[in-house]
Amino acid sequence: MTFTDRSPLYAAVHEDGINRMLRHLRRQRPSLFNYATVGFTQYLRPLLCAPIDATDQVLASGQPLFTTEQPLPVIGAVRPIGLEFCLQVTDATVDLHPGDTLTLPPELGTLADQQFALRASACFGLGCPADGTLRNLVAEMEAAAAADILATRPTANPQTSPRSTSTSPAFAAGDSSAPDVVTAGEVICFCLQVFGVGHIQWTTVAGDPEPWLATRLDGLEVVDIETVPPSGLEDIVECYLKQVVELGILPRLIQPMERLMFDVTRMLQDNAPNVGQQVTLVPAAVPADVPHNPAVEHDELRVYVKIQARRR
Amino acid sequence: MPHLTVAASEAVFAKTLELVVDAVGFEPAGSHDFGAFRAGYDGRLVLAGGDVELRSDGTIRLHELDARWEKLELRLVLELPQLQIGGGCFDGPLGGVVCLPAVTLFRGSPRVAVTIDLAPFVRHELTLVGTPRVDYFDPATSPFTERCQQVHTALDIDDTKTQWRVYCDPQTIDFDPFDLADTAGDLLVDAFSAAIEALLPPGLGVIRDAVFAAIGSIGDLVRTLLDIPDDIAEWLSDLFNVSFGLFNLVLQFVADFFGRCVSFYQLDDPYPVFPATDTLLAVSVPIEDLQATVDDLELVVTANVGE
Repeated sequence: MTFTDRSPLYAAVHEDGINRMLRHLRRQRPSLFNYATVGFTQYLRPLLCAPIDATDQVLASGQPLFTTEQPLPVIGAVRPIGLEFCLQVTDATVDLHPGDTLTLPPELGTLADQQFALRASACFGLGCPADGTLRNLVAEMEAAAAADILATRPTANPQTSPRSTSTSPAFAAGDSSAPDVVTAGEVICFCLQVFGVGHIQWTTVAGDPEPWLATRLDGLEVVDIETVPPSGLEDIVECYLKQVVELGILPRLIQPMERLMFDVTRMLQDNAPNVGQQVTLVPAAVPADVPHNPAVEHDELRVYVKIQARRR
Repeated sequence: MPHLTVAASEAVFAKTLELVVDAVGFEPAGSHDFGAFRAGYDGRLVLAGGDVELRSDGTIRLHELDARWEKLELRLVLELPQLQIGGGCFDGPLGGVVCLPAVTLFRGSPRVAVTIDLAPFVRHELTLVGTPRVDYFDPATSPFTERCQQVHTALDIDDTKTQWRVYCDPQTIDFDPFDLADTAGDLLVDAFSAAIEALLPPGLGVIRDAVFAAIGSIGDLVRTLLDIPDDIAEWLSDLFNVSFGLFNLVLQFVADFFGRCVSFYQLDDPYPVFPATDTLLAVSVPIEDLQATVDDLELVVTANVGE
């Protein structure tokens, strides 16, 4: 059997290649794996849960090492304030079916046909204010609450505003329109190992007639949280991390089909217009042409592609 | 197991090569001083058609490509020697000396130049057997001929990036030498006839036939002046094959074109995985150990992702 007996073009990436690509991606685009509040660009930088591993080129370019997030809101605070935090994915490994590299936790079962497994380490750090800061904040919140009450009295001084204390050393400098950020005295970290299973499928994106390859998460399991008796805590963490992965990370990893073909048709596509033709790539049909496309099998991600040429 | 595998069927590979071949031409020009005359040529050779066959022995066969001259202008310049026709005196039968009128032709040894386009008379077929050869292209260090640069401009090939390039490296090239038909020789004689007749003095009148009887036909004159032994068409063929060395030039062009100049597959190294944004650099991965093989059904390229 040949690679192209079912479609004229074929491309495959072995899981070892994918894992190396992930490592390059993590070092060259650390902002995809690291999320933190603005304080971590300044005084909290040394307190990240894990040092950010970036290439010299990235460090020299001055590009952001993490995606800046809004502070974690303190629920019920008299006026909007938030805590510094960071979320870092420090490691990620992919194992394509048949799944002979990673051992999945029992909750995820056995890796199904055409699925991939994912293992990642995720660290969450919370910027916790020092006791002194907290005491100051309590006083400020009481003052703010009192100001609100006084404001309801006819004799209240309208100049008294909760925002008047925003220069307090209890708050880190930040955008005046954003919630005030509480100055952290320390960063408390915990790290979890996360496993996931998923599949890969074609998807369409606006503005591009050719399909893209997208990753879908079918399940996620955090293995380091155990409560007796079992509680919703682990489920909540898993739910949240699933949103981070599915809504934050994976959408940024979709790839146009053309790039997956590693330019094997570049010469063809570039020169077809010279003879009045336009060449486009389309996935081979399932099941008419191939049983699975994309296929995740034999430790490889495989795509089968056909060529359509039409007169311009 | 290689990290990356890409395969293209024979049909895709053939179409790619066909388009590459169609997109370029070879424009040789040259001249040579033969002493008695000077000759030059200016041509444009294009390749088209042909079949591509991937073979089980790991070779690629480009079969019966049509190598056609869009232009093949031959320019010949020669100096006509001054000729004295007639004249001379002899004793008349009735006594006395009779002197015949004399005509001097080509006084001052004028130059005559003709240019003929031999493109319609020349047709070659090209068959090439090559093997995939992988090169690593580095703009800073890889040698690059001017001719290649022109071809790359025509094909819009980006030579600013380091790349793996896979060529069809010719092992054998079978190219028909120049073999001009007799009609090409006739064209040359006709062109010279017109040019030489234009130089004959007006009013030759009745002695015109005598002039031509003296110098022979224009064809004979041309043969004499150009030192052509017998067959003009054969002489023309030799002129291109041997004297100009155009046959070898075409072979060299074909060898360079396929073997060094135009790769049928190229992969950037590092290979861009995610493009740059306003604030972020592009993400790219190093490509190592690229290899290309063919069998009778497909081209397979494998590579690894570097550390």
